[in-house]
Amino acid sequence: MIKLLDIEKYYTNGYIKTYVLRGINLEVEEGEFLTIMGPSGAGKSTLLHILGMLDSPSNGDYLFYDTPVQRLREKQKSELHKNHIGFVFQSYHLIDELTVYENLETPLLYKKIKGSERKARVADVLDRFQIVAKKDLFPYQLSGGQQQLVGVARAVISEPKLILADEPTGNLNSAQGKEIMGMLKKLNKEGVTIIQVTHSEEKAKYGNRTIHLLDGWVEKEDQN
Amino acid sequence: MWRNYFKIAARNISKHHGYSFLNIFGLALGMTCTLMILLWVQDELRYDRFHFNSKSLYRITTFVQSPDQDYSLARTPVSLASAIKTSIPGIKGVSRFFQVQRRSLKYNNIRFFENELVAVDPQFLRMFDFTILEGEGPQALTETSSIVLTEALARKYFGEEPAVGKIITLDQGTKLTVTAVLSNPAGPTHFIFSALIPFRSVIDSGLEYDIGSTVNSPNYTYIKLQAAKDIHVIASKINTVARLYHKEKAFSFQLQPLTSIHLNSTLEGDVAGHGSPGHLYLFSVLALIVLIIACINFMNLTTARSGNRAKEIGLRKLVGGQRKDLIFQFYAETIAIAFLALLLSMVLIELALPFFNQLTGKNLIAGGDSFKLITVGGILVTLVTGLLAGSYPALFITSFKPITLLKGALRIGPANLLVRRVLVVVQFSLAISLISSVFIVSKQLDYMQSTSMDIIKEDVEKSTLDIALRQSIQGVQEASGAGENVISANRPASYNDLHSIMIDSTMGDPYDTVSRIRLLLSVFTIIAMILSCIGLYGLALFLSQQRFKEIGIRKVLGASMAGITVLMLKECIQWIVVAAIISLPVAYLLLDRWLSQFQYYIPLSVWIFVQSTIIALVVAIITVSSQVIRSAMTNPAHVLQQE
Repeated sequence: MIKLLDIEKYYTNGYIKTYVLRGINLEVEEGEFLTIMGPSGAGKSTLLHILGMLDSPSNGDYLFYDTPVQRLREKQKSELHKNHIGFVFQSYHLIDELTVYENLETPLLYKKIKGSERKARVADVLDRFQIVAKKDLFPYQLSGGQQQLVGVARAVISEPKLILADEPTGNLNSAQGKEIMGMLKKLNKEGVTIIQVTHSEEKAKYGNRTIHLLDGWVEKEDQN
Repeated sequence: MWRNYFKIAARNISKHHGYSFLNIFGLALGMTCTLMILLWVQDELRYDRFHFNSKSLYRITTFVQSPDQDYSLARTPVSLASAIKTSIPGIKGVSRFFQVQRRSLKYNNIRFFENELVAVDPQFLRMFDFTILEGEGPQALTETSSIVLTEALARKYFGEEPAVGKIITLDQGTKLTVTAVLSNPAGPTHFIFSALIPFRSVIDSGLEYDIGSTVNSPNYTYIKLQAAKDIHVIASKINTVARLYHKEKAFSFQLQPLTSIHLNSTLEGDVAGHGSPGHLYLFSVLALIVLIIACINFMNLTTARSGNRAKEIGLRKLVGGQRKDLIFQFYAETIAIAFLALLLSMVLIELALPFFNQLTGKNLIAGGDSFKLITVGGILVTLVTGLLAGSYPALFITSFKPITLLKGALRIGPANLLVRRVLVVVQFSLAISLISSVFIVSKQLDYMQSTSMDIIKEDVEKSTLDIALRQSIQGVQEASGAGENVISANRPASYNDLHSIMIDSTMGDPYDTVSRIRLLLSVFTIIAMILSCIGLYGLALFLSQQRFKEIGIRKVLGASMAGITVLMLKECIQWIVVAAIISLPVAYLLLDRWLSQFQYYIPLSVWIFVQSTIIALVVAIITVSSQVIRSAMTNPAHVLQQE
């Protein structure tokens, strides 16, 4: 599904190059649950952003289903986002002015899905995530755990093949964290590929493979 | 999707309702001023255009060569009409418009003096398209004993009863039968009358002495030409015919298009209530200034707030929104908000028109054709403002990568801040110039009224003498060549009468106009000032958002609230000072030019500009204080946590 070949990422400031990622070679198969770990500043989030096509590497090749991503135009990347990739963020990132229902509906609107099917799909996801009662509430009226549940539901609603989660439980207490991880595990079992970034060994165990980054290099790789 | 856009726009408006109110109300206020001026300008340009074939209608004017100075008169000898009526091919109709002086009309036992009684030839109603409300059509004035009333006058004498057929007594004896009632003209007209009588009845009723001379008799002659006739040919034919009657070469006749009488006539002895292109220009510039200030506001406030939408834009991109979708969304949203302002301004226009009419001495309405004008004009302004204001979120913010937007790392570059500052400086330059103008205009008026009244009186006496002299000369000329069986008794009005007329018509009018300008200028200036303050408030809002983090850090490091308040105020004050420096030479030059048209005028003092600047500063500081204090009171922990 995903192939990274010699990916490098650096920032130039004057004459000084600051490397964030170097020599990253990574392959991700469909159906995997991969965890990226490492201390602050190791380049975890940058790697995830590159995987999510939110950022582009300075050097190297990225093949997504054998398509070279660096040659895609903005519009084509947006198509891939819309159809194949879902994002979950540490700070949830819901649209504050929209209700739970409307937040979930927005990706479907951009996919131009008809009214009746849209309603059915939103209803289905609300049901699966057991947030039917919250559908007319605004994000600020929900707890962090509930907001993240909506965040995951929004990532799932467009039926992506890949979910990228950037410290999804970072702002949550342990019970809420467990719930979200359980949900991700369940989605993985249903066939969705998941790549998560985390600090926590415990959360890493939900995945079946872990790569450890240090100062931009892959330090080691574990199979769970 | 539309619903999604609409909901988010509506919720953003209500979430930041104070700001939304300022934004929408400010633009609406600007639009209201501009659209009302547009109505006024349209009205000024429309004079006498409602007549069918108004292009073929002309007034004959008199050009007089005199030893000391040549001059043109709006009036023509009474005899001219009958002289040219039949003898010149190409002229389809001729009518006199003779202002019969103060006469009384009596019906049953009601008697009023009427100042606007006018004697015309029967052709008048055929040449000009005044709508007949009641009674006969264009032949209403063929009988010598007929009278045609305006609707208002018919109401005055007969109430709700039908007027046609009623008999009115003119002065002590002549009986006149009402043959028609005219409704209000379809557009503005330079003709002023409340009742029309056939010209023959003037002769029959013993008013002869009034119609003797060129100038003493307030008589105007109008002609209607056949289509596509060369007016120069017609004019020279008129002169040839007239020469048969008037052997003197001292005066000749010219043709003036009917539609240019209201705005472009500077002739002596013209009917009252003329407009001037100068005022048209002045008002248009004022309207444009207010509109520019209002549009700048809308842009500033919209862009200051759109930073808050960065996260939304990032997320929409992330869940599959393409840039074109976002561009569309934000343009649609700002245009829709501008449209709300337009709707509000329609309401404001409806409320403000009576006041505006009082101010301008007009009778403007926002219905019919005018409605079309303000709608089209308003929509144009709405689109332009919406597009300009929407460009920042639609084009600039959407150009960023979603992750930049989500990180909240969107920093508005120095170039953008510069644009914003330039815009505020422009606003305040305009506002300070307007404030200075109000001071100067007021001072000049006071000066003219208090100190130079004597000089003016002297001038009046001189020119009155001059005109009286001319009149008696022409009276003699006229009498010697009278073409009609009218006995000219050339009796100039008594000297005192003439004097009071001169002061009324020559001196009274500019005073009235100038004080009207003063009042309008003041109203415009206050509105411009309010709008500029809204703009400044927007800048303060924006700056405090920009410096949110800086303020937090300064507070952690021990800055006092007072220290931070001064820091923020300094920013606003320095730009107003820049605005003052820019506006000074411009306003100075413009006001200097304005003053130089008066014979006696006040010296321009720099103090007036300093005063204006201080006023702008005080108002500005009051405006931004609340915002500045609020940001100075920010809890630093809150700021730093966000980072």
